[in-house]
Amino acid sequence: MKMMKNIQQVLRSLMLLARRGRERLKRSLVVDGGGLLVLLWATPGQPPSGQVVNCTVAAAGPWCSGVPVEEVQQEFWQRLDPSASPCPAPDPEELCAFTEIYGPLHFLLSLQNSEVNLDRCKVRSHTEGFLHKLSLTNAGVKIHLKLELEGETYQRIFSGKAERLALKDQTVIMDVTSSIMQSALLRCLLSSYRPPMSVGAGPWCQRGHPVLGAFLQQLPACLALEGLTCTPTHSTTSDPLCSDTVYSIDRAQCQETEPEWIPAVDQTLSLFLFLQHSDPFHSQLSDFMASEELLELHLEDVLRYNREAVTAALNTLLQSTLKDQQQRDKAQEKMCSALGVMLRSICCVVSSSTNMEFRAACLDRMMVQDTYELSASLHESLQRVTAGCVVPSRRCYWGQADTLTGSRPSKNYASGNEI
Amino acid sequence: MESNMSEQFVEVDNFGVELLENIDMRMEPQHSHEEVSSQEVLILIERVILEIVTSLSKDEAPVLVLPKRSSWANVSFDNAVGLQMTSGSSVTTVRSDCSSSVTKFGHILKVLSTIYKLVQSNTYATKRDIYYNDTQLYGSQRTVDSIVDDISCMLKVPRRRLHVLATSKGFISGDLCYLEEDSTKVDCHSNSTATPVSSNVGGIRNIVSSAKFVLIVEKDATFQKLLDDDFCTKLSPCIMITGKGVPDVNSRLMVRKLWDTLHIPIFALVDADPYGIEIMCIYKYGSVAMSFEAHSLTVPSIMWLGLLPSDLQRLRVPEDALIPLTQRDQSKLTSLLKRPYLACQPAWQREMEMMHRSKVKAEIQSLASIAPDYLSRVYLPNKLRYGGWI
Repeated sequence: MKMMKNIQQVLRSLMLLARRGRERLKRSLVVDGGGLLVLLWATPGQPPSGQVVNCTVAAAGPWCSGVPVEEVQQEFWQRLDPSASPCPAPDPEELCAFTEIYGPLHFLLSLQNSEVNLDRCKVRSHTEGFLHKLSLTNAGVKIHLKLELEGETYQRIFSGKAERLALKDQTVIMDVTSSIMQSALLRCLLSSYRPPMSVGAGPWCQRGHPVLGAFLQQLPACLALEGLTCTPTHSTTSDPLCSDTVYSIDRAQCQETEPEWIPAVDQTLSLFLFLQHSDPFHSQLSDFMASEELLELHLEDVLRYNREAVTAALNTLLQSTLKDQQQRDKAQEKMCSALGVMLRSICCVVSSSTNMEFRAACLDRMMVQDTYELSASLHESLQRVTAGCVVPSRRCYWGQADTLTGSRPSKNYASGNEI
Repeated sequence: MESNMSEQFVEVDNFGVELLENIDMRMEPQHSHEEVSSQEVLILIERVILEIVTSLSKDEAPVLVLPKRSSWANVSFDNAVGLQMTSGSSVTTVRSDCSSSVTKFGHILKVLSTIYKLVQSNTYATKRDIYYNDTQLYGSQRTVDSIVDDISCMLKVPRRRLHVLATSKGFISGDLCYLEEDSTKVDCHSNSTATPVSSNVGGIRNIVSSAKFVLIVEKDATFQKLLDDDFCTKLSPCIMITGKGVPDVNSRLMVRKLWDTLHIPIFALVDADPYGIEIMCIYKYGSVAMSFEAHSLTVPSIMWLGLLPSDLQRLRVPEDALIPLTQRDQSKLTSLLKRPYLACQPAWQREMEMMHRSKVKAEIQSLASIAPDYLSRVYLPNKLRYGGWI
């Protein structure tokens, strides 16, 4: 959808300008930095164009106070798709609620595009996905989204627990509750950029077109995730910066399987690649924009040509991140294995005993008829009592024997406990 | 010659008489444990299993309660018995619903079921056999060793009644003959080779010996030297035994067996260093880890024959044969001086304080710096002749 590309272009430019503005004013990004408003609404258009999609992007707050909007309005329009055109600003009441929270607007841009086929759900999911990612890496800015499409209104605010994280020469305010990345962020330092080879750099399709996203598709095979298999499930658009490649991780299940009534919990691990590049000859917005676009265009090649460094860094990061998960998996495996040993040992004694009183007592306790049923019943009971116990408990303790009588009698197997 | 020999043992004989007159009945064998029958052992194991099944029937995680065998807080000292586990001692709880203890829980049940089958079939296995039965499960021999002792302590049944044997480490030589449980005759008289200590000391019967004393030798090197010097013939009749360092249970059982049967003086020959003294204390008073079996393993009447720290001064052992005490030695010495049994051994205390002041230690081999065969030709004969033990 052309409007999505235009919105992304506007936001990219805005972010770049805001950062330059803060640098000029010698102001660092703060945790509570202000707001960003994205309004999208559709109006009927002249056939055959279908509908007209209107979009307003507004920004307020300290994070963008240095944006020289008047100077760069033309620059913005130059970078947009030719089909985009200015449109009237939205109803002032729409903006009023926003400015009441964040103060006067430092940036306001309204544009419109004709769209032949407007898929409301697709627009919403694409917009939300993009703004969500933007929010994660700019958690100091609250992002307000309002969609009015096909008679339905949808609103959402993107904000989270913001934490300041240092990345070489930059500070990033990230929403750390949405990702489990902590201090180990991947830094892909492109100190030497090699232009892509024109021939044979592959992969190419049969018609010689470069296939974007192939490195990310092949990445799981290069990762050394112990005990885990990483399989790509789907990948979105061919634009690397706007696409997702989602992997699922299959864990090896232990032989003594977990009870089926305990549902599996899906977890998401978001991995961010931060790219830092600089060119001392850049001064104009257009220079920075062009650089970024060039980097995006050749990102696949850059990653591929530095695949060893990228893979090594990812391995280190993921192993550190998944360490706790893997420890829990190992504890679960240990538990499963031990339960098997316990069950076999108990059944061995009961089965081989010639003490009828003892055997009867065991069967009666578990309310079963024979040792076969006893085994099944003990198995279920063992699973129930150990379900979820994969975190070391502080209940392994030692104390005086007589203090055990509080909750559990002290055990003197050598005295006369009757069967 | 004969009168010389009889004079040689006057002090030893007198001491032997003294021992017989002063035998404390608490030192006598406690037969109750030895009399635990195989059927009783099976019932004890079944009791443990039933407790576990009962817990599971209530959807409660089963636990095993083990007395802590490694804590000094769980032992008391009795002059006539040694270090013994107290009743109401502190325990370790092994839970089945805790990831840090579930493996041990499984191991204990596995060994219990193995023991059950051994006792039921009246067969025996060594701890090594049990380990090699499933090395992947147990991981190490030490795991099995520890669990067997834990089970023995938990059920209050000696390990041998669990039909689990241990390979013996020690050797014995001298005026001694006996029958093994399978009626194999063992004759320990030999000038050149020693007899391995039996792996089934409890099954030994028909002990025949006219030995006047038993000499416990700390190190195998010293034991071999005495064998080579024909010590047992020169100081005949006597018995010599070594556990080759820290003694295994079978060696301790054998020493105890000799005491119970012969009631003759038992002397210890150890290096004049803290670790040698500690080894001697294990024979005499027992260890914390095996305190639950003290009555079968200790011989409180053992006397310290040598090498005494005071001997080093008295005999003017050359200085280059003496070794400075290390930091570790000092710590061990300090720990020994605080042990409960030192209070009733003032002479031992004085010797250890002498070592502490002089800050030197010496091996038995240091006597060779006086003369090559000084140990067997002069030192030991004189010690025995003139009652040089404490």
